[in-house]
Order: sequence, then C-alpha cells, then structure tokens
Amino acid sequence: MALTMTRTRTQTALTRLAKLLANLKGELEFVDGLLERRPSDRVALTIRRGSLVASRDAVAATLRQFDPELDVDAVKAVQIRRTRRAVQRYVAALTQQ
Amino acid sequence: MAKRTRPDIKWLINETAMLQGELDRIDVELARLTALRESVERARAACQHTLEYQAGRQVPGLPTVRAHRQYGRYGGLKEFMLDTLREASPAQFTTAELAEKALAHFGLTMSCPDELYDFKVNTVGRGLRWLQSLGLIERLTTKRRVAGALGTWRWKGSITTFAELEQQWR
Repeated sequence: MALTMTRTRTQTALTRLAKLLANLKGELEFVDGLLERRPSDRVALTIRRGSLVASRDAVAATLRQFDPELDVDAVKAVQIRRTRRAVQRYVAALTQQ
Repeated sequence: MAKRTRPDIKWLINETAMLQGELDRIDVELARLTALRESVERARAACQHTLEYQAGRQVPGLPTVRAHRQYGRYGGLKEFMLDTLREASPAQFTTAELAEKALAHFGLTMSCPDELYDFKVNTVGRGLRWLQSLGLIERLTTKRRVAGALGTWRWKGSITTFAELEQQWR
C-alpha cells in the first residue's frame, strides 16, 4: 500500500471506526454488569475494563480526528447477550489470558 | 541643561530592548507550537492505538508523510480561490490578497515569514497558475523578473463572440 499526500476519507472507513466504537462501548457495559454480579472474577474483569476504556477513548479521539464535527457520544453501545453460557465463556477466556 | 545620551549607548539600549521584544515574540510562538504539538501527539497516539487494535498486532516504524494541509477537503483551496474571484468579478486580486483571504477563511496561522512566503508563492501561486491553465482565470500583469513580484488575477468570464450574437439576433 502506497502512502499518499492527500487525506481522502471514505464512508467505509468511518463506518468501521463507528462500529468499533459501538462494540467497545457495548463490551464495556457488559463488563460493568459482570463486575457487579461476579466479585470472584473482579481482578480479571478490572484489567479488561482498563484496557477497554483506553481503547474506547483512543477510538473516540480517532473519530474526532477523522471528522472534528462528529458527535462521538451519538454512537450507541452494541447490546451484548448476557446468557449464562456466554458470560461463562467470556470470563473463562479472560482468566486464561 | 539635560545631557544628551551618547549615540553608542542609545543604540545599545535600543538594540537590547528590541532583542528582548524579539525573544518575547519567540516565546509566545513557542508556547503556541508546544500546545499544538501536544494536541497532535495525542491524536497520533490515539490513531496508532486504534490501528494496532484493528490490525490485531503491533505496527512499529510507520514512515512519515508530510501530507497536504487541510483546506476543508481535497481541492478546497483552489475552489475557494475560484469562488472568491468569481463572486468579486470583475474585481481583481493579487496573489498576496488571495493568500490573506485564504488564511482568514481556513483559520490558518503561519509560524514565520518564510512559511507565509512559501504559502503565497508555492501553494496559492501554484493553485492560481493551475486555474489559469484551465482557462478559468486570467493574469492581468506580466510577470516582472524581480524578487517578490506577484501576479494580479481576475475571473475569466465567457466572452460572447460576434457569431454567437448574430445567432441570438436571428
């Protein structure tokens, strides 16, 4: 891929970045919910939460760089299904890391 | 009777005060550039973080690109100059006047006279010559072969030919 002097932006790039932000916000809400319900996994969840907050802030700043007039707060969180099995798999993956 | 200050002392006082003024001006500019650098560095770090998150791996050692400045969008500066000349037609503007208007319109600040000169001659001047080559604007003065000579420009409206007038008449 050749780097260019122009700063062409595309709708596809914007959509992907907005989706990424929505996913991060969704996962953050999911982790916040788990932190209340699963005190036994607090350490792993807190570490994951810190990483998610850093990524969410970075993606929000990236979107503002993409378009300074963009309202990043308007990007809503993706709802993650909170079935018992999904939660168990998520926490197991975190504790294995 | 008041005693006159010796010329060498007068010059030294004046020069020292002038250099202090120059240092103050540099300090203000350095403070502005430091703040700007911090803001750009934050944006760069955020983009790097997002890039690595999306790529799923570390992306070290990206090359540096001295990209075009942002004039709203690609071709924004030429569009602005063309609109300015079209709206003011048949008035004419010099390259320097158009550069001043562009700076005000896009909210740009130049950190030193050299940068302003480069903007006028390289960016605005080259854009105007490009518009001239497309036949959209015309240069009113012949280029003088002296340093700092800048052109005067005007919107080139379409001229009705005698043949067209004749056609309209019929």
